[in-house]
Amino acid sequence: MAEIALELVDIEKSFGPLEVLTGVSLSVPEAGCYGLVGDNGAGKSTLLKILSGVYPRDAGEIRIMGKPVDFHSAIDARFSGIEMIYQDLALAGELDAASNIFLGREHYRGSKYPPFRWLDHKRMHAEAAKVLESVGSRLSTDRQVKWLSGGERQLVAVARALEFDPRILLMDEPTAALSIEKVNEVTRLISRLKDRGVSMILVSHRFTDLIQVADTIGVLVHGRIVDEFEVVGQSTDEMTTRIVRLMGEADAGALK
Amino acid sequence: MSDLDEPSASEPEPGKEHSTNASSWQGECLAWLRKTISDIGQRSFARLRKTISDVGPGLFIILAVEIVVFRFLSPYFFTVSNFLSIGRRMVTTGIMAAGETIVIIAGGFDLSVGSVAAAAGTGAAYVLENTGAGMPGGVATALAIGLLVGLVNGAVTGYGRINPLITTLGTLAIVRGIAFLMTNNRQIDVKNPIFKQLGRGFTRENWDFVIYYDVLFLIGVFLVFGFIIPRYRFGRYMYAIGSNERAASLAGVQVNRWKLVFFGVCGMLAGFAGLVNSFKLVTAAPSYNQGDELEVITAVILGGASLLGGRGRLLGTFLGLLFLAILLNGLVISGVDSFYQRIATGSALILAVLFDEWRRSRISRH
Ligand SMILES: Nc1ncnc2c1ncn2[C@@H]1O[C@H](COP(=O)(O)OP(=O)(O)OP(=O)(O)O)[C@@H](O)[C@H]1O
Ligand SMILES: [Mg+2]
Repeated sequence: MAEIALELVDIEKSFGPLEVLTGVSLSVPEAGCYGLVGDNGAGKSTLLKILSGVYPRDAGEIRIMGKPVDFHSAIDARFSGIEMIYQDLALAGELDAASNIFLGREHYRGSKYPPFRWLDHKRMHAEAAKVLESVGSRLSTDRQVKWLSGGERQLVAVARALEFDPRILLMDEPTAALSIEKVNEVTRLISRLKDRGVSMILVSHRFTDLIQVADTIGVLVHGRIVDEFEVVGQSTDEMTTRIVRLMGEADAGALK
Repeated sequence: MSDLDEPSASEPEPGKEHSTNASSWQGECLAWLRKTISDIGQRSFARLRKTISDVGPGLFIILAVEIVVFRFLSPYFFTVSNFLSIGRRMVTTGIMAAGETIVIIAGGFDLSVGSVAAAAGTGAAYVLENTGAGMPGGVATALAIGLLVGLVNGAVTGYGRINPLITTLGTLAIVRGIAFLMTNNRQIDVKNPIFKQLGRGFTRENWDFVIYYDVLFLIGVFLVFGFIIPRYRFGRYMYAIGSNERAASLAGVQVNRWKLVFFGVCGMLAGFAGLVNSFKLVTAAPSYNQGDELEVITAVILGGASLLGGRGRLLGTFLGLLFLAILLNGLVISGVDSFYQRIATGSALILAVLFDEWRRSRISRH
């Protein structure tokens, strides 16, 4: 068994009186892919945002390669090698694709220090084109993001995350707006990332996409992982009924 | 060093007569210099073309129409001296508008520029007349007052999360109030010779026009920021924060710190505008520049900047300024009552916003 890259122990989070996460524990091995499913509002995005440093957690522990970590901002998480693709993509619409991909860590030319170094547009566009191509997109890098289609935007967000060369990649609905063809592209990409040793947590409502790439599936209900199983050796139908039953039970429980 | 001349490797050599054949280092230096200059020139030209296409033909057309109309309304309009007076009219509001453009693109808003200009001009005049600090002291005072108010605006809107409209409406009143208090509402005449000289211009015997220093300051400010914005993080983050503040922050941009920078620069430019204004008048008073913010914001919005942030161009603002200055000048020399100036400015502001709204809704319907 590979080493554990990311481990969560009893993560809790409330927004005021609303208890969103009531003790989530899970672990992702190196080069592993953990698929997280759950109903709308189950707390999936909240969990990922705690991991990417956007929200502080109320309780619990996050360990990366066995070491406990504490994030106060998205930059902290990035320093630990965590990169996240947000559900709303978090792109600046008025900027072009290349500027979005390199936002926050621009390349410069000239001297090493501020007044005599300036943005290296040429290099950023060239590298942006390269990373976009690696996700199967031939998008022109000087297109303004606000005019892009939902799928194109999603690819820009994926490309942006990859450009940071993360060790742990969190993806909140990375395929929601993509066509079947592009989904396959992203699926292939995820496999390639696994080969490169990247660990991932994937949130998706498209269960069929998820089981193509995930090694482990966790079901989040009422702020807790209520079921967890390995994908290998189970049929799609088996897994689907298992999840549907769990979510159904949860609803029934909530009604009581 | 090496990546400076790298992009021009494939470009045709502009001047290859006798500069490279000798192995003299002067020749090589000259060739390198030529290559670099032509390279920078070409890239700047490409960027300028893109800027012009971003600004769109609308403003240029409106400007041309305006000029033709006033050409027929007044015989005096199309004279060199009138163009000079239009240019001088733009200076104070123009320098402020450069800063306002930056803040508005970054998703902010600054109503305090007029007050800051008045306070800075008065402060500079006070230091010049009452201390031995001389011209450097006066300039430093004006810029420091502007910077200070700008930083306060930036801190309150950024760290304090207060709407910039409210924040700067507050500082608009506070700053002018303080200026009145400090000077007891007195006008301060400046006798410093350099100060006076800077308010004038220079000419030659065979010229039939004057080059005013303040017009040069205005052009200088636009050139400096026109240079900075596409080349530095400053410009990149200004658009990013205005476009999607949360995304910028998630990308690791220190949004609040940059707001300090943007508002600080805007304040400093407003302070500089106040200083230049008092050069021109050779006097300063806390009651000056009232209502300038109306003209400034009108010019910026006319220039195509979006109140939602993320969009705008310095060139657009410059054209907006020109439009407004010509409009106000044209009304005066066509003999229209001066009260109409404010009505015209206000109408231009509302029409500009309406036009922006219409353009946006038309585009998004496609
Ligand atoms: N910043 C916040 N403040 C208050 N409540 C919040 C906040 N963020 C999320 N919530 C609430 O927490 C709950 C979980 O939200 P979350 O976005 O994590 O759900 P999700 O599982 O990602 O749902 P979906 O599948 O629809 O994306 C929801 O009830 C939501 O309203
Ligand atoms: Mg979600």
